[in-house]
Amino acid sequence: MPSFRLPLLLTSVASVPFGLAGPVAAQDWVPAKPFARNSPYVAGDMHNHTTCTDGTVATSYLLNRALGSGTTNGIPNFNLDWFTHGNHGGSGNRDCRFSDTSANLPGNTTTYWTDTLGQTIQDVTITALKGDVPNPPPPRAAMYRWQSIREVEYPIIIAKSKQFKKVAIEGLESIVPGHEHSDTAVINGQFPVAGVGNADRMSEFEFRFDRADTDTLGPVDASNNPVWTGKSFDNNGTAGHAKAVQGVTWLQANAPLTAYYVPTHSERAGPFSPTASAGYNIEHFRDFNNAGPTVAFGIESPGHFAESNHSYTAASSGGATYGGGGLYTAKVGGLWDGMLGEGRNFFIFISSDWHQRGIFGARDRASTADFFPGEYTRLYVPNQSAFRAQSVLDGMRSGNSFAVNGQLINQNFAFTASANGVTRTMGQTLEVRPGDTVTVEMRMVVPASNNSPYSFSNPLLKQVGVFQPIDKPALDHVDLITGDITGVIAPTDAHYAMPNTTETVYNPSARIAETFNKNNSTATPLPNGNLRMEFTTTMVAGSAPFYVRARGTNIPPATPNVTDSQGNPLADTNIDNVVCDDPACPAHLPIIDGTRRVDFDVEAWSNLWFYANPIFIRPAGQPKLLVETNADLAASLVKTLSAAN
Amino acid sequence: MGRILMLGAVVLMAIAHSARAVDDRQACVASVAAVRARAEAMPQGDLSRRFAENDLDTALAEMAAGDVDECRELVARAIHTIRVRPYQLHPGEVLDGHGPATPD
Repeated sequence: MPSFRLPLLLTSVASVPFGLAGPVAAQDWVPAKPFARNSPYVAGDMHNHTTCTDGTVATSYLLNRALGSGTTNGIPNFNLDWFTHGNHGGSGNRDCRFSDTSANLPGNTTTYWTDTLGQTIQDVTITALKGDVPNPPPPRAAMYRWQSIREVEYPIIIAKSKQFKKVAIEGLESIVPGHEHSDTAVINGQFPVAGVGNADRMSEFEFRFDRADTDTLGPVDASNNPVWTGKSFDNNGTAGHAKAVQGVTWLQANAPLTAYYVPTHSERAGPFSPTASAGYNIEHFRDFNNAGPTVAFGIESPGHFAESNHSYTAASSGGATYGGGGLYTAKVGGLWDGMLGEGRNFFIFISSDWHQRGIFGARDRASTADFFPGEYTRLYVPNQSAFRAQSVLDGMRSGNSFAVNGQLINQNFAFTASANGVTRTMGQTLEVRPGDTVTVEMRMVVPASNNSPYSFSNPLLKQVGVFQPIDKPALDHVDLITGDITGVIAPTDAHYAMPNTTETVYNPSARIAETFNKNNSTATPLPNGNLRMEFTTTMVAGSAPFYVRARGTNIPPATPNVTDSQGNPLADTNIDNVVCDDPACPAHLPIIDGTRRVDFDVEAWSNLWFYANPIFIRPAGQPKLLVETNADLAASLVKTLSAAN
Repeated sequence: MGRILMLGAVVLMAIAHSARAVDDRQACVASVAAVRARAEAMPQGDLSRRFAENDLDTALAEMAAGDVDECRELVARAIHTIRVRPYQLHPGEVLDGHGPATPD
């Protein structure tokens, strides 16, 4: 196959369809990243923390590591193309212009807001902690997050965006009423065409809808009257969920193209509780997507990739993670397939959830907790000739995105379905006639090495006689997963709400339709040591709509303790059974029954997966799928909002 | 009048919520202190102690950020680490963070 086809194909499918871009926003300091670098997609992260909440490093340090390139004093930076800061809601008593003492960064000791009031630091001056009452009580009073979002984080993020000439956005990991958490961003006002921007809408959303924000007051006007009135404190159970839906509705009304709402580590808190704040069931994601068709379009997989069991306990839905992913993502026929089986725009995203490196310092490469944004996990959205903050949201909303752990593949990716001369990619719908041949193609590049600090043989693969350096992973196989689309389930339908158990099958038609490995794909070594892999297959369109999604991994099927005979990831708790017996196995791994076991960062670098969002296929003449009508809604909103402006 | 009553109800709910939050936080701080005393009874260079103390530090950060559930979970994990001691250095073994070769 001629090699020139790859960039041509990538260029054509990676672009967001014309007309879906949201309102113009000026970020003239961000230059275009040219396609000449073979960058059809650009990498980012949307979920990460600092000392403004429960992280360990300063906001500026986090962005330096995430967006910087090369090394700084011998410490690697991770050169992401874009960055959204997704810190918790609520409050925090530490000044996040400083890193925590535990980060072990020279010159940084834990500093509290009460230590720095009135001082100008990093061009930010905080004179008072605002809101109703200091929380917690003095001497270490906290700043409510609605204040730190707009007065501290936002100006630092814009300064760093200009320094690195890259897109950086002020977002939020909302602590959701009735549930656990949700990645959120509202970019209204952050990037004005002219003048100074603000994160007031992001801040307002946090104040109104974050259950950890207990402030009753919020900002006040010149007469000391609250500006944001009508806040509800129904934060738990069924009433809390109703408040969460109100939050999504608020986003849809105020920021239909400039916000997203993506529940994160959504299995971790277990099934939903009608009386407390716990996890999510499928009906809650349906509620969100119904209330916010252009803002609530997916979920995020766990993060915390170097933490033992990725922060999931036995009480989580599924009882563990699976190949680093949550059950909702990892199980064929599971919750994700249930949502796709309705034809919903419901996509999977993955980010770092960076807080800290556990027992190590921020400059160490070993970790017993998290990885920096870009170090391990990368979320790819389409590149654009003028990539802006809006491009991140447009790319995520479109579904044309994929997420990769451990640099198993890079940005040179194409996943398409074609018929009758028409090609569609992830998030899009291919219209066919029954009996048409649908050609599915995937092309990807496996980098020669990744960011792992370890180079000993992957202990998971060693079990099956494969000796592969951890820092030079190979793609073992890719699964194409298909499922039937049977239509949207109405809230009044008995199947709208379903039991949430590990065994629940939400879409029984979902299956691994085809698996590609070295025996049935084309592998081409590239001059830089990378490996290009490509494969093509055909499917015959029937009379019913369906979807095809993909996942890939470095782990063969039937690898003990890691995958089953079909190649599905097993519960990651099983990896505790795998011995790490190489002399180079690090000393921080746990010892069980006298032997060191695979865990923490070694487990993360050993067990790599990527997930590509679905392509939808619909027979002509059948009603449009919800994913299509919601994309149409976004397109019409672009026109409406453009006309209004 | 109705608006004043409604505002009053919101404030009362918020006060009740805040009072409960303060109680939860004080309980978290107390349990961290108690478990930290147990950790500090372990040898200075004990790797399991280092894990436990990291969890306790994180528990306080979570508490300060308002996540009391996370605080409880981390305290429970620290207790488990102190009891089981799954992290140990073999004789002559050194903890290597793969960090900078020389401190700044």
